Amino acid sequence: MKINRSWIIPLVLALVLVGITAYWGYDQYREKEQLQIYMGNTFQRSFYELVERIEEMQVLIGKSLVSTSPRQNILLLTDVWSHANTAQAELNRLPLAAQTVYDVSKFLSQTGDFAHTMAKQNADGKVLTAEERQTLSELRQHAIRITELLHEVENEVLAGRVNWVEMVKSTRRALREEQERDKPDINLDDLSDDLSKVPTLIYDGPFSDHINERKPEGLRGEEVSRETAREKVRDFLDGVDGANISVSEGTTVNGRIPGYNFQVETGNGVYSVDISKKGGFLVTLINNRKVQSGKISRDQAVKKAQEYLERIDYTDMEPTFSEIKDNIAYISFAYQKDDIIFYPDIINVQIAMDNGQVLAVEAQNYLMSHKEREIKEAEITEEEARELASATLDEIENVRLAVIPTSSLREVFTYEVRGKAGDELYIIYINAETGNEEQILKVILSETGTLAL
Amino acid sequence: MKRRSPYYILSGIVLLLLILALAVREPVETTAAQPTLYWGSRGRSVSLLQRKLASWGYYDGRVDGIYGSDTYRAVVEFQRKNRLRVDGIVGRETWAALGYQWAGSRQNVVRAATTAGSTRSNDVEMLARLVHAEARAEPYEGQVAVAAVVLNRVNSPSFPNSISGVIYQPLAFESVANGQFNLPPTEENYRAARSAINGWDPTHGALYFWNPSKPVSRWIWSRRIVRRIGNHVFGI
Repeated sequence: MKINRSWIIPLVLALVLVGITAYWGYDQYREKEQLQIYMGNTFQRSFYELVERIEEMQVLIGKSLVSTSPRQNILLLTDVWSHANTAQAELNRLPLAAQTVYDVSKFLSQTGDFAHTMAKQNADGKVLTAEERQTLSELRQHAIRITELLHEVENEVLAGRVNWVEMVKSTRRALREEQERDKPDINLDDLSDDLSKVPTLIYDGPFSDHINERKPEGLRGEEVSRETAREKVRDFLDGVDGANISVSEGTTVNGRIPGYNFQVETGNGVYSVDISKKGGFLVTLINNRKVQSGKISRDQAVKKAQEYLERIDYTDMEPTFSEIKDNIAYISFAYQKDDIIFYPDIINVQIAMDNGQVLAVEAQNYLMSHKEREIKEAEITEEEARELASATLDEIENVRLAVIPTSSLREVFTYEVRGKAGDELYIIYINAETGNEEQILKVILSETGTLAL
Repeated sequence: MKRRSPYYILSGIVLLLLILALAVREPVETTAAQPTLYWGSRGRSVSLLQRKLASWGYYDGRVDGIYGSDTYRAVVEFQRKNRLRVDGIVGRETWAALGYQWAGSRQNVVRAATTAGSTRSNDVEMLARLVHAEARAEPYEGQVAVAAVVLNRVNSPSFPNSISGVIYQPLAFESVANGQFNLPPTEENYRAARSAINGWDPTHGALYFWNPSKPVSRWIWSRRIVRRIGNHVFGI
């Protein structure tokens, strides 16, 4: 009896345990299943949205090609832009590998951007040229082709042969097992082949192909060797004892601005210094020293940064913006000549607020865009610019001449008008040749600095 | 007696497993950083505090997520016993003594900045988190470079056109997929993010970075390599 009874407790406990484990397991399984369905639905929604938006886009381009009214055309092309943007965003929400979406993504961004630029041209009263119409029509053909292929994928999904959630899992599995996936996620290969035939698009928008193919304009002078560049490193350092540092041999930087990189050990922070091959200019300087306290003032920091830039031969630089965060001052400079400020030629500097040391410099933008420019006389006077701006601004604080970059990095000669509307601060840029409004910035002043949006 | 004892051991083990199985069903306590708590605070962090104090015998009231007089007394006693500053405020040191991380004033900073109408501090926060998750063991320059890659993607037509779009793109960043992204960044990570936003780009426009010692897609090696920083290779 005793032996028999001693079996009962463990047996009951074991049964209860099995029961609970089974219930727990089933519960976990169901929860996982539900989450997977939810995830799958989210992906599927993005996919449908993508297909619909591209179809819509394609139809709208078709309409704009037959429309004869510029007003109608502006609306149609702006809609193309909006649909293309959404399609691009939805495409990038799908669990597809970067190489799969790379070209389609680019196609959508550029088509939208191109349509937007054409809409702006229309608004400026310029009719589309035959060439531009041809480009639009080509883009439309590609959009039609993409929709066809996406419909094939749609059929695969509906037939259960493509499962988005499975795709996420298999990618991660393949990566873990250090091998390529045996089959690509969805068959967009035809698409990539197709899209490689899209002509290079050069137009006045931020995604135009000319932006990536830009060559530095500000690099003058002889090619320097790595040894020469290495000798120059010390000239670019600030506030370190030259005797106690060691400069690395240097490596090659294969970037937009070809150059050398040197690592400098100072005992108090490591510097990384990029020097251009051509001309031996300072491209980037970064120091990782910690800054624990703030002792110097903002004005002192700006003055220090300006003196430093002059010392390393970046002259005529005017401070335009500054912000202090965690004891580091971020100061932005723009090139200034003959009372005109050139915003494309920007150099950024970081100053340590404990001792005024230059911690970081960034001159890539300056080196890419700085060049000898032909300064035209302004067609409209400062008075006229003031008058134009005062229509909306209550109070004008300051007016000066400025060259600003557009989103496609074209340069525009403008009047920069700073003023207040109510108690909000704005900067309005008025084209100095046509009197058109080119850009508006909203300025936010805070304790840490000025922010222009 | 001797014959029976194995069964008791067995039932003991079974019971233990039972308790464990049930414990798993309990919501997992977050290891995320905790905010500063004081009289009047409410919410899950307060519940966490009460549970912790109760388990150590300082608190015998209800775990209700409301910081009232009982909780205050328990906190003060805890602080006195642990030689912390006795002020009834659960900040950095008290949370540390309780075994949790303090979220710090960082949250306040973010909130203060966003009320100014700017969205930039959100960008810094997201970038810093990604830097922490992807490159916390990398040299500072490598951290700036990772943040710069995100911003280069935002400006590239082939990638999403916003910082959140780039970071949350499925399959783009392993650390976002496995939750590392949600860990609080360090001071250095914030500085790296801020530098990238202010224009620093040690990668000269790179769109990809990868660690050659870890398994990566073979395709990635077809990209043009700009340079190597720390353990990461940066390519366009």
